[in-house]
Amino acid sequence: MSDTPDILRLDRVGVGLRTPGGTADLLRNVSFSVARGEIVALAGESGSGKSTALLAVLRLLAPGAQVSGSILVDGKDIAPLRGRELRAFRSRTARMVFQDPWRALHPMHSIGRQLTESARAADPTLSKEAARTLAGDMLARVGIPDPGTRLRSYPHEVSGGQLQRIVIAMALVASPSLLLCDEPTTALDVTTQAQILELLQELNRDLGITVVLATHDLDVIADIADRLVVMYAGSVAEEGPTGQVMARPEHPYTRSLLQAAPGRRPGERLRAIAGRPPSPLEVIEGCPFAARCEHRTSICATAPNTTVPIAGEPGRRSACVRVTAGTAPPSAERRSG
Amino acid sequence: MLLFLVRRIALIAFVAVGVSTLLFVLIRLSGDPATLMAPADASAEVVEATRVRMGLDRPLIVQYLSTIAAGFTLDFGQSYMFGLPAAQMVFSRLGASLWIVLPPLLISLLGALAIGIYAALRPTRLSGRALMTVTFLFDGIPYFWLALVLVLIFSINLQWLPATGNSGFASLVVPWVALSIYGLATLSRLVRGQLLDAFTEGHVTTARSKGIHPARVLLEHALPTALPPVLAWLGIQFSLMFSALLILEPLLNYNGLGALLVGSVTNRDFPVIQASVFSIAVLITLMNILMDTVVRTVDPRLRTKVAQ
Repeated sequence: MSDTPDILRLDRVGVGLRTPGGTADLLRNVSFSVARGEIVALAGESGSGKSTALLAVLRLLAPGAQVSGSILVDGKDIAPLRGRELRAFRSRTARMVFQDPWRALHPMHSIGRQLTESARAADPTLSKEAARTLAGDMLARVGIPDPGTRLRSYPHEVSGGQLQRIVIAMALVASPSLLLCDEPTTALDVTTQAQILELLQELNRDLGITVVLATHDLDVIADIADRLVVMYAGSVAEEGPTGQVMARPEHPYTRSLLQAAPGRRPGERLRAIAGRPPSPLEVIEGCPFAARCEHRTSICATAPNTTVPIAGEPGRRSACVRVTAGTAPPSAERRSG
Repeated sequence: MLLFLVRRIALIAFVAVGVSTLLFVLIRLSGDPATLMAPADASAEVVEATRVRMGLDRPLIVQYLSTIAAGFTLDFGQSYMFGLPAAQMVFSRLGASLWIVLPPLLISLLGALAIGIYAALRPTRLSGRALMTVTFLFDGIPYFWLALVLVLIFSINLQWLPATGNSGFASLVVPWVALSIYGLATLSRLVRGQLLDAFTEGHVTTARSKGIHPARVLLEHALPTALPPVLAWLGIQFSLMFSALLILEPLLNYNGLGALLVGSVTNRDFPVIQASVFSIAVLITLMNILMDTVVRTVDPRLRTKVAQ
């Protein structure tokens, strides 16, 4: 995994938004990277900053948002991109799939028009006819029956599951190297959710597209993500291969999150996390989770809010100073959780 | 589409009957026309003769039905004052009134698009806000006051324009400017508000995320979803401008439908009142149907709903 260059790297990224109540810190010192060909899940509650992170990658944050740190896509810093360069980057390199397919598509344009527009944004040399053929092929590729008819349909004539496939096809016509999905299944019913996840996995496997997925749904993560980045209050709590993180969480927040998820282990009682996450308007000193953490000690107040590699566990990083400083052997903590 | 048209035509008929009924009741409530029409010192016989001449001796239901029928046959009877067919008098003035109203309607739409788009692209900057303050001031300026001020400046002081009358293009400048500013006030703020809403809509973010040029995002993605309420308001603005003619035309001594209606109300010239109000009501309904049709042709969602 380390021999392929990272397609996406966030380095100490902060996003601040000026509001009447002060500066809202939507992201605080976020660092993580995604290797080419991976499926990486950004996990966390609403407000943890996962969607903000995706929007920041595409430079789609609200005007006035202040971004610090650096975001590298394919080794290139995206911060200085302007005008034509920015549009070329958005149209070809990284594409977004939004949460709600009903809102993501233009209600007055036919599906064919929206897909050809997408294809021609990425490749202006493409003729209208060629773009339309490509659009039809991609609809077929994502499993839309009778693509020819669908191209002439309008979004309100199509079901939610099909619409999300269409949104994905709209990204694929640009053959992007990076697909950013913001809660792509949340607005859909359960059976459709599974089909969309399968499709994403298939595209990752067959076309080699790197997928970054923001979700709060641990089942989604367990099903398809190679690696997991757990976010809390605009920061990264821990990072590592999905199976390992879910079996042996190395951050108290991850453990609470897993225990708060229903249906993981039959018969087990659901445990809600006491308290609530800090507001983006709060100034946080040390570990953002400390106030709600049952293992809090004096060193948490001065913890640097960043993940560091965990000794003896390759590929895993944690922001919990008790884990990384070795004051609490992970194994002991796991039993106490 | 056929069903849509049938429904709209039924709507016009409904409006026609409703307006005729209202007029019938209001005219009866305003006093006995025969007494009003006859000379003040007329004998009872003369008043009675007038009543028979005006057809007011017939049973009420017959009078009512003939009023309704007038709307469909466009035969409103003879003007009491001028002895001409009321319908003919109204139609000869209609063009003049449309010529006062339609250009400002178009100017306010185009101007509102320009101002609204400019301000929506600079919501926090001084230039955008200043423009909105100006349109807010426009909203506070009564059009008849503005017309008088314009006459004072350009006709009386500078003598560039005629103060009153029907001397072609020059006499239209004052009402055009007054009505355009009247229309711009609301429309430009509506365009700005609708656009700012559209900018936060998912499909506009999608368009930007696809790397579409900002001008195309604005014109093809944000504007189409922002426009329907603006067009609907344009239909309302048309009726507001037409009502404004009731004040502007007598004020500027312009021979349009507004002046005719005001004059015939003063003279109790009932056939002309009936013909004018009826025509204005149908015209306003037609304008709203036109706006409805335009919105339906751009929005596929509405087409499907009617077909179901």
